Amino acid sequence: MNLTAECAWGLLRSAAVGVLASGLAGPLSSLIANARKTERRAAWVLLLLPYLMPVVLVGYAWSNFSLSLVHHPVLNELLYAVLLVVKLTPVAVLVHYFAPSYLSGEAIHCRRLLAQGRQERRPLRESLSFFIHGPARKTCVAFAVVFLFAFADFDLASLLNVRTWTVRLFDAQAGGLALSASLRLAALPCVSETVLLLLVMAMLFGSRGSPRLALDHPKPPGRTRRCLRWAYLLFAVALATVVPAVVVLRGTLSGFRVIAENPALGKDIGTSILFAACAGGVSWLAAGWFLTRAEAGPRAKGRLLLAFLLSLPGLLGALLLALLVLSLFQLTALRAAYDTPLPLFLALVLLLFPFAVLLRVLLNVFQGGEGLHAARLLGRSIDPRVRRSARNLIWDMRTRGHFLVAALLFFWGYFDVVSSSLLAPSAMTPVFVRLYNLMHYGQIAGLSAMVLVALVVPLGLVGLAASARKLFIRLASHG
Amino acid sequence: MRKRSSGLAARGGRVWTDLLLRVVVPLVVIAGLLLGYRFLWVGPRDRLVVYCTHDSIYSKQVLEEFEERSGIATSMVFDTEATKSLGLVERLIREKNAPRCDVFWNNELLGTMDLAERGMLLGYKGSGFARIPDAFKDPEGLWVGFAARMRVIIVNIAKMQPTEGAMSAALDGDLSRAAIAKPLYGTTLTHYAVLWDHWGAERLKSWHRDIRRRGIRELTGNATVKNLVAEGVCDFGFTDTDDYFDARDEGKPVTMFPVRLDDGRVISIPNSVCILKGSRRVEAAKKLVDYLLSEEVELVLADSKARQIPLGQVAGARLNADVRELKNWAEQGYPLPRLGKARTDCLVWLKSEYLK
Repeated sequence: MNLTAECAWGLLRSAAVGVLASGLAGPLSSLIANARKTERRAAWVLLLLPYLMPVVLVGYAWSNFSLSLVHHPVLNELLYAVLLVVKLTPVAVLVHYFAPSYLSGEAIHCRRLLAQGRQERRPLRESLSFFIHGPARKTCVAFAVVFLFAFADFDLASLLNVRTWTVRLFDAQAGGLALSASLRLAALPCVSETVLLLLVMAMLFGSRGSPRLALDHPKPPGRTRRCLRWAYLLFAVALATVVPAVVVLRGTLSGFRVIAENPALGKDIGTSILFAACAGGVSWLAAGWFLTRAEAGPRAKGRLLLAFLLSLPGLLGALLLALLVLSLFQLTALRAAYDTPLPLFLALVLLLFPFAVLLRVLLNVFQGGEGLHAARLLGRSIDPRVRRSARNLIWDMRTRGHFLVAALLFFWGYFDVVSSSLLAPSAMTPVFVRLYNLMHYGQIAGLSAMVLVALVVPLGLVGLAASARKLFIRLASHG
Repeated sequence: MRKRSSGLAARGGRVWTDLLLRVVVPLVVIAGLLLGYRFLWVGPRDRLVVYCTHDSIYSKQVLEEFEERSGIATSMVFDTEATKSLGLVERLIREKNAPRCDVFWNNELLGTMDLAERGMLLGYKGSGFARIPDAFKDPEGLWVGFAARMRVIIVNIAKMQPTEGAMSAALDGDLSRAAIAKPLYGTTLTHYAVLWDHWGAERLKSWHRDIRRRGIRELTGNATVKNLVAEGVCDFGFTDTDDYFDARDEGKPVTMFPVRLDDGRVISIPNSVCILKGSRRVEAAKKLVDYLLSEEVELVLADSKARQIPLGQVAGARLNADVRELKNWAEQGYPLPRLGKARTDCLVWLKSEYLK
């Protein structure tokens, strides 16, 4: 297959993954929306676990099975697509769950009633417009977000021996390839991504001015459907969490001795946390700054355009972006900063920026409204208990979303392998670069223990930050 | 009055919140990051920067031992499987204008020779240079080879007869149960460069197209080839001795045959070490080069799981049985030092084949 064919095949594969994931998102959102409190929590945990499992670990765990399919390339393709669906469905559900319809439930109901009374058929254009602005809107956004992730995947594809344009771009580097030639190779896929990103942004910005409606309350599913949806959640967790966890973490206990003998692991984890926190934080703040200033004012459009242009390097993918940054720091003016943390920090910020913008736009569109305003008014109450409740409400309605986005950016930065391996200063090794190297030698107890520690430390930190909010709210409410 | 004081309390709460959110929290975060940076980042000027493509689980021990003995701190940068095609050789070329690497320990030779041809290496003839035979070093001391491995055919003995005859018949027939790594990088590229030089370009091209037509499975690396054969998914495959020993040590039903050319010669691929031009720690770099080329390090690598073959003088009695057998074969090795052009030409052709 040549690059164009590979790109076309990738577009098809990503579209199929997008359709499946966004198709599953509706039923799963309805399951969560209609579940009781404990069940809902369980469903959220089951849903998010596959997504939070690092792609590198999932690919590593399934790589041996994928190799056994070497005589059946179609089945291997299928395995890859299924893993992508399982990993990305949670993203589609999040979009679907938190997105209120552009049209209210009442409006849709009224239209149905009207349609029953009318004899003649409605023009296709009108029906299509209603569908796109109404029921299909959030499905379209969910599809586009999943598509972007699936199309840009490299880690899973390379570990499962699947041909994708991202893998081809890597192969092309063998024996050296000029940056300009690399950029030419990536032009077609990057243009496809850019067009889709533009469409999503236009769609989301288009709905910013519209009145914010309450969350949907889909009909509760019947018993069989409910069972099927729970079965899917369990299947996804088994595939993308349990199997990798068992494969990677078996023998962990006996491996803890290795950690004690390897103090460098702590330094590597610290390095990764440092880079991920700085890059995640800066990209999150920068995205917020651009979007706030794009709301109004004479230069609003200019700022929005600048935000979009700044998103483009990230769409090149980790490899090309890292090569670009590497070339940049070979220039005489920046040479002195080459073997410092700056190149990797810059690459991570640029890599995370488009996702930060997209997620913050999604938050802006899906959040707020009268509910948030009312909660803010409550916060002015003279009663500390009311103020505390108001702060809790604001956390639930607004801050939690921002916290989750920041945490997500932090984790993406933390799990990065490609740009970290190319740009980290020689005296600092991000932890997943080291672990990924060790994974090459197969399953060893020491490695399992190291992976466990490398996973638990950032999760613990994020958990700690989340629980610190209780203290913060208490302090703030008492004044 | 009470209402007023409560209102003031509420406003005080907001002020406190704002102070916490806008000043204290960011300050704490920034202070934490600065402290982290201070503790985690050791300036590269203080350390000898070593780029190493040899497996880190073996090479790290050697480098740490060097650190301990010499008191010279090193920063080690290892090759990553994730960016294999963009290996450390390509990275060094990209970093040519602002080199940060002092010593490059490459697990093969042809890439190092490429760096030498580009004028990126510094000549050094120390005690290590003196103990390695001429066939494995550059006369100007730009690079020196040590501790070799060999290209072999790994065979699953539960799937096929482990005889030369069966092997030769299998190589002439259907290859859908045989595997090889993509020849764009690593030792498979060296294997191809040897064939390019020995057979000529046309014969290699025709052989390559023929084995692909007969269904050979092309994988991402030698370790993957080993895994497939060890698990019986493929019957045999082309890999290196270190991967073969890895499978054998795990108790897999495997054996191996050295890859032999028509004239009976084998493909033996040494590690190589060199000092980069522009190094700011040349004296420390020389010490490391001498250490890596010492008998002691060659013995450590021979005794490691990878069973690397010493190239310099080593007392035979100190070698294990596996390495002794390999050393006998390696003496009939194809000369690699003149393959620089073959590698370049072969790679250009391979890229045109794989990246149309």
